[in-house]
Amino acid sequence: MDTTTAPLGSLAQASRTRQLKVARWILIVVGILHVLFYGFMYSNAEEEVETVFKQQMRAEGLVVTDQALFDSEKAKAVKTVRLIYAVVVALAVGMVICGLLVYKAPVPATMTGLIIYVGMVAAFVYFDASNLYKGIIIKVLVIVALVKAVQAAIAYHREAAALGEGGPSLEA
Amino acid sequence: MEDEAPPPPDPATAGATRCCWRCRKFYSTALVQACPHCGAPAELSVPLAASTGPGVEGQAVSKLMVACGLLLATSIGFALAGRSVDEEEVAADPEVAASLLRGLTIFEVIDTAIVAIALLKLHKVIPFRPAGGSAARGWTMLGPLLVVGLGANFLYHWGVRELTGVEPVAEGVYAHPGLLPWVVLVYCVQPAIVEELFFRYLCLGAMRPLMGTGAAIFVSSILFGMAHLGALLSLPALIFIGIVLGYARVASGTLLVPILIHFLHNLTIVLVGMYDAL
Repeated sequence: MDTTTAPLGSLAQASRTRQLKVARWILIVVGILHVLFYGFMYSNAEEEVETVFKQQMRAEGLVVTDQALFDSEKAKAVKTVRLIYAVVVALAVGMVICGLLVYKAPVPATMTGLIIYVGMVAAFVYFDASNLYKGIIIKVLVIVALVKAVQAAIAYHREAAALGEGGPSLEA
Repeated sequence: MEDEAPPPPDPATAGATRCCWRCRKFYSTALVQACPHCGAPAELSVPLAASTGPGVEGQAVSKLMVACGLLLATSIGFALAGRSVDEEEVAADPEVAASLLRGLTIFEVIDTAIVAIALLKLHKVIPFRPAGGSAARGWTMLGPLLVVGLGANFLYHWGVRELTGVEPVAEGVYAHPGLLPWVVLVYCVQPAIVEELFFRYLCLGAMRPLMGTGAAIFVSSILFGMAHLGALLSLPALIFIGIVLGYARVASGTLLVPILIHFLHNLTIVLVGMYDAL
């Protein structure tokens, strides 16, 4: 069913549907961008670790004395970095799925999307504190839009239930 | 055959219109004092005008989201503060291990205070004993659910170790059996009580009326996983354990069962970790 033309019962419901639509696209677009970016980072992990190792060795004036140990540590670091990127890609896929489910289950989908997004931002801050300031305006806008979407979804659910529409689903 | 549901009421008369709590059909209290469809008393039904907006559950969820943000902030704070700590150094020096535990204790006191404030603000609107649970069933399932949670945890971490050679969780404090009582307090007792009160009582309780039991268990489990951001690589196992604990809460109707499962789960992990470290 086209939700934009669905009989919503009130102007407030129509406005909430617009907020849900915005949240749906935010979750899908942000999720896909994260999948693409961190998918690329996953495939590029070896070069990334190599660069970081070289920079650190140059900065601290270190030289490799045991090549086998160095290679084994590097391989371990690559695996750790890849595992982290794999978890982030999985979370981003979760965001896309939440976006796709926004009309079917508005409250769980928007809430899960918000939790995953905030969790991902927090994880990047944990890995590098300077990530807090990078793109902070976009991050704040996305979080505000998702919070508003959660509130809209809750209000939509309550009104739909009160109007006897049989639950939160916006689809026929 | 059931009657067809009446059309939505005219907003102009919505103030006098109620949605029956039993059959969810509409009727006007100006005409009758009981539902004309099923006979349910009008005073228990929801006035239509009051049913719009976020409602009590929505306000509770908003407050819980703020509390979650604060818990996440303390989790990142502790992770950032402890990032410079070398686990090998912690394992080698009991003083460094004790210092790490002191830091963890401070952050857990902050977490406990946040959860206590959330409890004070929300305990009146979230039922402590939700309908549908059976304590007998919950206690019967304690053992199997503990085995499932522990099995999933060990299997996941074993799989990650075998496939990648990466150790997802390295705990240097396990190398000091003398610190066991303190470790049990901050790794087992505090998380079991405080996290269960927050995630299984407050979060699950506030979300259930809004999204149904299954979805509420799932969303509260994701929240539970995200709150353990310091162990990002363990996230899938944590979400699964959150689902097991959520199910224990719903099936038993009591909070004691998930608290015990959580405590015994963490205690097993600590004891196995200490045994391995010896």
